[in-house]
Amino acid sequence: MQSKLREPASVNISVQLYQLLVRVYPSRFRHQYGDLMVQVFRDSCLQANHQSSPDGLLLLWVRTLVDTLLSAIEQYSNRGTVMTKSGWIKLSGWFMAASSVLSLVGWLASTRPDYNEYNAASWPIDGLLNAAVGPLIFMGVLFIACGILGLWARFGKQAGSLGQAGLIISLAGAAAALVGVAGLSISDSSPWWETAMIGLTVLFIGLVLFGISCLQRKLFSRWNSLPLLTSILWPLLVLSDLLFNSITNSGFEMPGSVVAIVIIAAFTGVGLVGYLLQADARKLQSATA
Amino acid sequence: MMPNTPAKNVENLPLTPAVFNILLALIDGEKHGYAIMLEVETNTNGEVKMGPGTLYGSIKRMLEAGLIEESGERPDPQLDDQRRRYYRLTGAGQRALKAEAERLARQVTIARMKQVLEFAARGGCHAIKVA
Repeated sequence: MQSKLREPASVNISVQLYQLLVRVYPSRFRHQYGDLMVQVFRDSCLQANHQSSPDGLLLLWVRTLVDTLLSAIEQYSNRGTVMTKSGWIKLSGWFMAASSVLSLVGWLASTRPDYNEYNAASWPIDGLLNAAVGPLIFMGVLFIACGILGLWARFGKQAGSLGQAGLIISLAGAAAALVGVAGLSISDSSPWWETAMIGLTVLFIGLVLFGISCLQRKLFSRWNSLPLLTSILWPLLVLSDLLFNSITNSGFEMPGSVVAIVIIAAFTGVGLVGYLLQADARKLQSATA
Repeated sequence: MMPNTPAKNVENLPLTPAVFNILLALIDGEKHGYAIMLEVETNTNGEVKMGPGTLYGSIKRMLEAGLIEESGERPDPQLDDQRRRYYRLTGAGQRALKAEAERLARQVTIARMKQVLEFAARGGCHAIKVA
């Protein structure tokens, strides 16, 4: 028998994360091919780990996330009209929940200094974290956009004109943020940064409008105040920062701790809305079964 | 011998790039998923990198269409993981691959007749504008 070699920790962790990610596929497809997909992913991880630096594993993850998004949508769309809608809503909810983790990890990675072996404050892993910021935030925003499309599919009709406008604004904001984040990977210049920040602000403003509609119309079966409470923090932070600076003209910057609390609360809230959405879709599926 | 399984929708050319590349990877003999993925990457000089989802999504469709089938045999059970599944071309898969290759060859012939490669080498539309 061939002896099983000990796999590196980065590969083991990646495989475990991918096993969780495979859960987004329809159950039938997952039962047929889930284990085989995990096996192929493990082989790819080992190859990436063997051939190159940690960047290789990171690039593999970026490709795999995009692959999972597109192929999962394809598998759900192959299940027929009735299943497509509830399946898509459930999937988009999971993507929105995952966006929270990706965005927060991306933000945490962005707080690390640029890697330099002569800088005692930087760690060896910072090289990997520096490279991971852009892809993580890009995927985070992309997954939020999927969640918004899922919210539209689930509540488009019930949300009324305010909720609908909110979702459209959110989607436009997500698109602008994606352009900005992608631009930052090409050139770390001010216009791209501003595009990304304005995009994220517009995204959250749209979610505020949807949150108001959610509160008025009780769209979810529980936690209807959650979308508004969590999405309003980011626009409030930006608005107060702009107002304070325009009045005092002092170049004041918000304390880092306040910014951190708002970011954590906002993206955790987005993740919880995603969780609510998939739970709602599951109820819908069992009701129509 | 390849069984002569009739394929559904084989006439629906063009094949998707993923399906065409998987068929092309299997023309030399049966392979498991990861070997198919590596072969596709090599054959396309790294331009096509399929993830596990795209790979098995395509394999599922190709099995349903009768273009490929699972092979019960293992090249060497001592050297390979027993959990792997191997796939091979069916007769219909071979015909679909041949038809698609011929279609692509015809396109390339037309491109050559129109001197597309030479045109591109001269700078394409830019060359026309300058002229």
